[in-house]
Amino acid sequence: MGSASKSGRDHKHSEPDEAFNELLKPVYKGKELTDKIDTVEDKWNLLPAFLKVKGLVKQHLDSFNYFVDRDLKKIIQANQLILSDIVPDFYLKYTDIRVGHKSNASPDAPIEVLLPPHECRLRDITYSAPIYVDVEYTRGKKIIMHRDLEIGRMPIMLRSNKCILNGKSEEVMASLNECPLDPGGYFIVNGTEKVILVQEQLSKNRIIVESDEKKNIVQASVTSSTHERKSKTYVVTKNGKIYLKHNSISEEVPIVIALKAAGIISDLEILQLICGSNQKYQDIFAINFEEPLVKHNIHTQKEALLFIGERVKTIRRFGAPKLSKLEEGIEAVANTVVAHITCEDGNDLKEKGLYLAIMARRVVMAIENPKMVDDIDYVGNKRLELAGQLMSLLFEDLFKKFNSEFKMNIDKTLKKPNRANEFDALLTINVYSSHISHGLERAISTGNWSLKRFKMERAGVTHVLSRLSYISALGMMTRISSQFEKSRKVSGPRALQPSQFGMLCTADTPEGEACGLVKNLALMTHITTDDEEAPIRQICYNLGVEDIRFVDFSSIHVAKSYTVHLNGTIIGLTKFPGNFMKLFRFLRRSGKISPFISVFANSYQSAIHIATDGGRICRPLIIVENGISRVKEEHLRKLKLGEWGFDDFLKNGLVEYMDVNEENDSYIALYEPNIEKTTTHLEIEPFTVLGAVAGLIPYPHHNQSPRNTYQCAMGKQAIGAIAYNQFKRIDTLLYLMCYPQQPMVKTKTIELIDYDKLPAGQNATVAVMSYSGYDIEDALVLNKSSLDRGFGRCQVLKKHTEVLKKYPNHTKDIVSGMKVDAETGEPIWQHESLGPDGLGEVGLKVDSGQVYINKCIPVNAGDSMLGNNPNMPNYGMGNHRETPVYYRAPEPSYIDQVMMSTSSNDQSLIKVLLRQTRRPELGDKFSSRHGQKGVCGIIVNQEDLPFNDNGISPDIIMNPHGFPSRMTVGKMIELISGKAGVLNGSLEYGTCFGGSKLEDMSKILVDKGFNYSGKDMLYSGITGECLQAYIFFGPIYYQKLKHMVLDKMHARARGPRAVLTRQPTEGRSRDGGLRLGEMERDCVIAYGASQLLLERLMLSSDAFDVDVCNQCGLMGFHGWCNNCKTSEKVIGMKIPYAAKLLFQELISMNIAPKLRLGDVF
Amino acid sequence: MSLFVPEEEEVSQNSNEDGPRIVKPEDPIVEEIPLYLNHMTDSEHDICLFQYISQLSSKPLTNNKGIQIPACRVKPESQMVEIDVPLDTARFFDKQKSDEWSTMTSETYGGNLLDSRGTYIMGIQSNPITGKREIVLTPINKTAQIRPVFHHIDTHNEVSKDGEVIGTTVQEAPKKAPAKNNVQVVQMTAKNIGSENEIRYSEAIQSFKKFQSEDFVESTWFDESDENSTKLKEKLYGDEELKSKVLEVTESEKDYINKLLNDKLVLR
Repeated sequence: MGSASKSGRDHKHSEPDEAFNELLKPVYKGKELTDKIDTVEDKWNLLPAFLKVKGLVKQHLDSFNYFVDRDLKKIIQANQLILSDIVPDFYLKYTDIRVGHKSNASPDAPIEVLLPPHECRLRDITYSAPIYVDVEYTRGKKIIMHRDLEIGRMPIMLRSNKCILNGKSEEVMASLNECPLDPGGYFIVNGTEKVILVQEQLSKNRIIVESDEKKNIVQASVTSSTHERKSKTYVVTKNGKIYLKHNSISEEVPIVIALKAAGIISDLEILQLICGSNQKYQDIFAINFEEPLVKHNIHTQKEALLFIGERVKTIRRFGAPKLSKLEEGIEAVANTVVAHITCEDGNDLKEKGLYLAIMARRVVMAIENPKMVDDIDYVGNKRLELAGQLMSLLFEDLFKKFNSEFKMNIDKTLKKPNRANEFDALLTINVYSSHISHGLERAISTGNWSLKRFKMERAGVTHVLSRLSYISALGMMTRISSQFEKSRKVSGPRALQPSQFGMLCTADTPEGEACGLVKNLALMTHITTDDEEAPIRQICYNLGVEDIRFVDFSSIHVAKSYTVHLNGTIIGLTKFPGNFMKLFRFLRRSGKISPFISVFANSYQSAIHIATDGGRICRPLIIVENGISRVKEEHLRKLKLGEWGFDDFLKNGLVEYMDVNEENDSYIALYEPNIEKTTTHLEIEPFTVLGAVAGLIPYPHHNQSPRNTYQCAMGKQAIGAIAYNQFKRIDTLLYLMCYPQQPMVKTKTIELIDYDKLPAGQNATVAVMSYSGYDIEDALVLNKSSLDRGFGRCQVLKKHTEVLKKYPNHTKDIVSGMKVDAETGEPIWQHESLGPDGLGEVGLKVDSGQVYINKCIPVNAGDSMLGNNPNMPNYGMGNHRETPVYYRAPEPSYIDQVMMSTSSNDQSLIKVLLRQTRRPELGDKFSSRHGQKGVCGIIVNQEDLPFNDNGISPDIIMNPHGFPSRMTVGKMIELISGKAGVLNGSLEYGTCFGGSKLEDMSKILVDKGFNYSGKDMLYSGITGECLQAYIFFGPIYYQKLKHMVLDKMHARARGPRAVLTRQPTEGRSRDGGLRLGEMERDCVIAYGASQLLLERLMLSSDAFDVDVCNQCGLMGFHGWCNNCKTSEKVIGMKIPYAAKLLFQELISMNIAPKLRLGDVF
Repeated sequence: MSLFVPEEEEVSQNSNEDGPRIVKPEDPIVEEIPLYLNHMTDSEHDICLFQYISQLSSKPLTNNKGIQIPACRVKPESQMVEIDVPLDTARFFDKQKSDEWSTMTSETYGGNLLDSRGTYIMGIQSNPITGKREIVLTPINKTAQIRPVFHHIDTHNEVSKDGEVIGTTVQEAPKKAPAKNNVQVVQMTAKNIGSENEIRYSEAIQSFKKFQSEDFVESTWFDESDENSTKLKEKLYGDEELKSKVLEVTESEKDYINKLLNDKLVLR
């Protein structure tokens, strides 16, 4: 029971979060506690309560907490002993492990981290805490206990329970330069923020039945995964017969032989197990009895084991004992096939046989009815792998390596015949402690997860946390990446699955190759961590399940009797499935077992499945009993008063978590009035089908669905506020909006994720009309005065890092001061923005070509230290060469911050942050929240723009052609709601499946003297005349996207060329040329402009003068043919340098290309 | 034709363990039967339940059905039992095959003894005095599913293959007394295990090796009609002392549930 109650307790201790407390205050959003509580409306308050305990990135934090608190201990236990091959008495035993705490530390002592997270970011250090172990070992004859031995450092996930920010108030956060709204859930490794993305996988240790109807193949497979190994076992059909297939068995084993090997010897029992009394199944299966008997003459278990043992591919590890064929067979059946079920008794392999028989039965069922296969895209068949699980795999691998190296060292020392003093194992252990720290650090910083024991190499596990905007960071934390190959053209895994409802966001997925493979979590989800199996198994027996070990096989597939499976493995039989599930759920609802354990029945398989494994997505639902919702008015009142939290709802059995499988087995009402007699659950809030990013869209239910998907991609590119500590950060690239505004039309999601506190956009007054002709193809017309007032203005901050190196000969890099003009005494132009210390002065402008770090490196850095004594008189400034850092950009920048510090390897680190303030210009990209992007086509003076009766002119004019094909009705409603809100002085809501009603908004407009439809009469700014049509006019929230002309504009007349080919370089960053590509070339050819072709492809590119000898056809040099030893027939001509290069390369390969020249005219 | 032994009704036992009582609409009490718990297992007895999987319940292995068990063996360490059951050579008997397998007179049944916590023998009887029914529960320590084993075929194979027998896999004698040469092999194996890489064998192989090295211990089979059996039967139904202690519910439902739930940690 320990596990279950523990996770319950964890929730209670969750940090007091100011942000959410506001929602629980007596008066919130104009609603008071004394207001009437309407259960239909107010049950949504469960959502903020859920997020208060769970948070948006709780899945990462839970998983990491589980790893450091429990998984580590399990790993230590599994790899507890180190023994020596040399001295049999020697042992070293790990007894405990802790992260960040010494054994004597009080529970509320601060975690031992070196530096607070923000300092780690600034100084390029890893945010980590020490890993302490307690060991017990022998020294001579004595047994010594040693506590708090550090074996390495563990990178700490921010906001986890090992992070110093855990449970801290906003004030403390501020003092640590942390943003209280930052969700955490990432690591800081060498100063960069790294996220371990959630990985989606097919569930482990479950039978999956697939069929290929064309090839007439049915197969049941199970991927067994234990701490030690991973392998896949198949039960397949071949020519109508069923075989067992496994990688380590060289040929397919007839299923009957496999079952006999596992101790199910009699044919009667095999038939009973697989077919039951079903005549059709018996007919399908009967053929399988023939081959073992006739071809292989196998009757007994021993014969069958020998049969398998002879076919095992033995990969003998060093030192492993040699086994007889019979033993090989036992080993294969007991430990290799379906490896996650371990048979500890080699004489009793029936459990394994039972599992194989169930696999075979599923195959038989699928042969009889091809619909009885599993859907591998069904979310219930998927598991999500989180940071904690990945870290645990990695740590175990590193720990094993650490132990084996340590053991080898011990053996080496013990082997020496006469040791001077008594051997103390711990003296050498510190040597290896860096292996664990570095291993963890390297994996997180490169994203390469290589696990020796599974022979697994996975790249791209971690990503740099995108800090483009608050939403992009948040979006990254909820992202799920699939293991599927992106290049494969498959539709199944990419399609929207009905089982995704409420678990994975239906809108948020990228376009293009990763479409449908990268997903996002919905707003109200939880990902389970592993729970103990054994207590649940015992509970099942206590609830009347018959132990499968004592069940007569003939009674397994009897009508009305259900098999009970725990995490895919059969444990028993019950004749009262309904009653059993009722009781089991009762225990869960009353908090006796973990709320995340799911139970559901599969009537096709006559099976009850109980799942306790980690990685299942689940979400809370309100329990409905006898057609009445269990959440009543009084409960919601308690919630409002703050007496109850979300966990009280859970504990009192009003709300429960459902995973996808169990959800599939229940009848869920969307709204309370829809509840029927058979309803089992009620949604808390339908808008939670969307995730955090899609939740920003107002009225998304009125939009065409791809538009919402487009917005999800664009919302992450919007420039806005990043965090409260944004001005303290020194990031490689940071975009900040100068005057961000919260949207006029909000959603409940926006409030829940605090987007209103860190917004990315501004409320622009939009007129939907045509203007000037510079608004085609979605281009926008911007009001110049609005830009003057700060609309769309943003700052771009770029970091430059410089390290002052130290060299082996005791010389080091230095920063020298500015150079001064001899006459005036003023600094020279290049050094104008430098201070006396040789670093740029904060606040000064740097133009292109000016220096902002005047670094000098020693001339003799490579010399040996013997010849160059630093005490020698000429040692000093004269020995350094200037290598200044120049600023190169079309627009000047200002120096925003200069930081000097030392990094982890003791070298000086200089970081300079350069700032540019940009106002929108032609070509900058904007978008509304409805997937409607456009670039600025023209900037118009305010006096020329249309205006209304109140003299208001628009900030943006949008072309009405943007609407018909896009069908973004939500945008229109946003405008009306926004306009009503402006007139009314209120913020309106555009929450999905709800929000402010259009009728109400129109009412406000009419009351304030406007047209109900949001249209206004405008006057032309140019003629002053009234426009001929009423114009749809009002505020729409616009985002400025990161794509700006300044970063993209590029032109070149002359410039650098590549060394090898002498052709112009490629790309803006290298000041490259603009390519006249193949298709352009074809056009020029078709047009017949041969001279243009010659000019573009050769003269302006890599024209080269060569001397060709018309006698031998080879190239000469300086009018001389070295081949013919004459200058007689050498002719000069122009060819592309690339052609010349090709000729030379061919010559080097013993192919002589010869040129025969003739006169054209 | 059904392949199956007809179901035995065991419904009543199940409903005993309902545990928490949630919404039970109509469930009137029909009869109250006193329960007694027999603590025999705490004393000298090890009560094992043998499930004869392939045996018809209409044909028990008892003397009065004309079956006399010639031998019964146990490997106490490996928790293995074997029973020899005489063959009915009169009907459906292939004399030729039997001769091939060196004259069969009995077939062997065997099984593994597995810990069976929480299983009880239930004796229902009517009280001789009151005439009312009463139930005596006796906990069972071990359960074994008894299936036919075909040692004769394996032995036959080994004899015919002769030299091809691999390694230490000389099978223990299927018939009565263990032969001498077996002992030798066993000892060799034991030495091998002791000296070198004992730890490296997987648990399955270890237990298999242990099983091989262990000798069967002959034990005595008492028929149902035997005096000893009757005595034991009486014991199972409980004596006067037991009958004075009717099992009563002392705990509240809630405590009972908690006990059920917390019990399991100890069990593990």
